[in-house]
Amino acid sequence: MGKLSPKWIALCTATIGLAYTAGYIVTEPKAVAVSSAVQANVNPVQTQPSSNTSDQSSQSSSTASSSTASSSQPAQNKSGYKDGTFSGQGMNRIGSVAVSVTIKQGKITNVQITDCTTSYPQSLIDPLPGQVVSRQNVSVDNVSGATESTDDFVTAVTQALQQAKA
Amino acid sequence: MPMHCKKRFICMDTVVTIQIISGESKDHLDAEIDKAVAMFYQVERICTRFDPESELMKLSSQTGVWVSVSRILYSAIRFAVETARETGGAFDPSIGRKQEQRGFNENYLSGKTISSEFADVENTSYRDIIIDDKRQAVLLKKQMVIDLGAVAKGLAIDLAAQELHARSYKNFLINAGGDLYASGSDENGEPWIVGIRHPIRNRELAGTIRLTDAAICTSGDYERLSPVLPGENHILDPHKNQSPDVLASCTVIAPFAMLADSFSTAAFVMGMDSGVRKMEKMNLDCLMISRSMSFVSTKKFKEKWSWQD
Repeated sequence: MGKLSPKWIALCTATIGLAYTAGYIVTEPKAVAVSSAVQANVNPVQTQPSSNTSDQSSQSSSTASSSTASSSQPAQNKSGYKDGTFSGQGMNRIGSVAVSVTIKQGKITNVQITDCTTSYPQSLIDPLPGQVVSRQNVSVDNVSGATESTDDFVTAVTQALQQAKA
Repeated sequence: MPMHCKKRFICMDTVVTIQIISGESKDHLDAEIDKAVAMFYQVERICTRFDPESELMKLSSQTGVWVSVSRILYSAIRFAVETARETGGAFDPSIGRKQEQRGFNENYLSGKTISSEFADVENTSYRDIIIDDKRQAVLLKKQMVIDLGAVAKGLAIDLAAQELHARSYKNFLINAGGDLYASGSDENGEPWIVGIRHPIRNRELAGTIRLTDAAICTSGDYERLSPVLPGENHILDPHKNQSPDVLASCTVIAPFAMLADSFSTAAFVMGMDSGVRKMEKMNLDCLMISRSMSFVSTKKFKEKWSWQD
């Protein structure tokens, strides 16, 4: 590649620099300050200073998935997960997978597929909940022939765990 | 023996894969990749036009006032507007409402469709988006839905790459549905091999290239067809208000993913002659394949990138 013009190098570097300093856990939308802030707070147990207009939970509104949390006495553990049962959903063109994930003492103790409406049978992804419990994370094996169902499952569990971390 | 850790997830209506080559343990790499994954979700959350509550959509519904916006949104919009200026509007971020009307209006996660009637305004263009660097603010002169579709994915890739570089990783690959950044080398210590899809025979490759520390993006007429307009796809020529009909695919290689992303769309719209000329002028590399399967590229494209049929 020849040399990109200094103008474009500067613009790209500045764009990435500015966006990067936002940090991945940061909270922004100042745009909501102008309109009335409608906060999609799906996590009832979370309390945040009001200066942080956006919280992690609003991520679920942008990915437009439904994830809800029901946890009575959240206790933060080493894993960063609160105890409770959390649900998440992954969807794409072939259908959706919903899960509920139970955390006890910071550990993933149970993962259940609560709904599976993909064009493939649920039996294909039945082994995945066990893998999440034994590995304590979402890096499950790819299921050949059911990649999209697997992706849905991973998305669903990831969202549930994000709720647990919030 | 270097470890090879790979993770797949869905973001921005596509499957994203991030893989790192490193000597560290798999568990550790897994956690590190999650930091890069977070970048994707954050950019999506802010820049999506498929969620009326996103920061982008809240900005879109306000006209005639300065709205101060987050750093991510500001930097994405500034980049989109600069790209529009550079290409004389062949690339234009003001087309969001038109894209909705062309059937690209469904939130891939919820299945809900969005219809922004407030933006039914004629003749909007990128010139109606005014930006202020000092205040990090945006003013829309007309009502519109800003479409960051050809910027956000590239930006997310660049941010994820920045995150991994900041953590001292040299060898990794970030692939967001064919929009891709390759850093360093693969598990064999060679430049990453990247295939460019054959635009008609969709299970075959038109060829492969070798990529290191660069991004590549292919825009194709075969992806994301309009569900309401026959023969139309997601690429829109803002001047003609229809999909360009000569090219089948346009691949751009650039040092940044957001450049490759936005300019592969722009060059696709500009077409074979002026698109390639523009890419030559900007020192970006470009390969175009027409619907009649003729290949045109910037000079020495094939030699530079070790092209193999």
